[in-house]
Amino acid sequence: MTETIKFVGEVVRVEPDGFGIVRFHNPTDPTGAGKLGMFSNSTSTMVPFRELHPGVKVIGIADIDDHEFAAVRTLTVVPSNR
Amino acid sequence: MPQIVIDPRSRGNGPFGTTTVPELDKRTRKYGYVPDLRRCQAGDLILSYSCRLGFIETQIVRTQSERFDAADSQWTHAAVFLYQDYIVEAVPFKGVITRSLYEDIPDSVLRIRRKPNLTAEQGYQIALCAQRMLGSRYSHLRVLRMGVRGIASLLNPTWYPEFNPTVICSRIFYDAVVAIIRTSLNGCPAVGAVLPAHLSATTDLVDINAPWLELTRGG
Repeated sequence: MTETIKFVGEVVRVEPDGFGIVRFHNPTDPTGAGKLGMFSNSTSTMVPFRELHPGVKVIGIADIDDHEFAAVRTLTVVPSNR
Repeated sequence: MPQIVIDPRSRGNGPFGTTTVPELDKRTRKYGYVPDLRRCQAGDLILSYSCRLGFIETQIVRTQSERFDAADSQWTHAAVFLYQDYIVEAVPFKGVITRSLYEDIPDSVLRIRRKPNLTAEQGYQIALCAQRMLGSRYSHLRVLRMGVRGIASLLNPTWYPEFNPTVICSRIFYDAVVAIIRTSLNGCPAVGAVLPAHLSATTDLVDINAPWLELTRGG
C-alpha cells in the first residue's frame, strides 16, 4: 500500500541526467528514519533543478511503500535563510 | 557461491552445441566459439576483464583489492545487455557505444549477472534507463580527468578511479536498478562510487550461465 507524505530532507546525490537521492529527515513512518527517496526527471517535478546539489535542504512530496527507496514526486529547494 | 564465468582460455567441457552468426570479428571467427547469448536478457549486467590486463585495468584491480577478495576485485569493466548480442557501455576515448558482445571473444573473460524476479518489461526499462544515463553523464571532460588521474596514479598508488568510464558504468547499472524498481543492491553504496567489485560481490544478483557454442561453417 502506498502512502503519500510530505517530507523535509537533504539531497545526497544528484546526477546530470536528473537522477538523484534524498535522505528524509522527518519520515512519517518512525521505522523509516533516514529513509532514502529517489527522484528522476521522468518521475518528479523539481524546482529549480540548477540549484540541486548534495547538501541542499529540500521539501517535497513522496510516495512510500514497501520498496526500499521512496518515490519522490515533487522537490523544492529550501531557501538558505529559512 | 562460485562465480559462473565465460572464460575463453578454458571452455570447460564445451562446446554444448553449434550456432551460426552472420557477421563476426575476424579474431572471434578464427577462435571458433561464442557464448550462447540467447540466455541473456535486456538489463543484464555484463562484467568483464581482459585476459591481458592493461595499465588502467591493473589500477582498478589494485584499488578494488584493498576492499574486496581476489574473485570480486578481478572484474574491471561493466556493461549493460540490450538485445541479441548488443551491449551499451562507456569506454575511454570512444565515449558511449553500443556494440556486439561477441567482440570480447576471445580476449576477455565475461560474467553475466541478473536481478532475479524482474519482468521482461523491467529488464528493458533498466537497459534503456542505463543507456539514457550513460549518454547524459559520460563526457570527454571525464575522460580527460581520468587520463590526468591515470598519470597521477604513477605517483600516487592510492588513486581512486572515480572518473573512469568503467566506474561510471558500474554506478549507472546500480542507478538504473534503483530508478526502475526502487530497490538497492546489497553491499552497493547509494552514495559514493559503485565499483565492478561491488556488483560482483552483491548477493542481490545471480550469475547466468551462457554455455559455449561452436561456430559452424558458413556461420
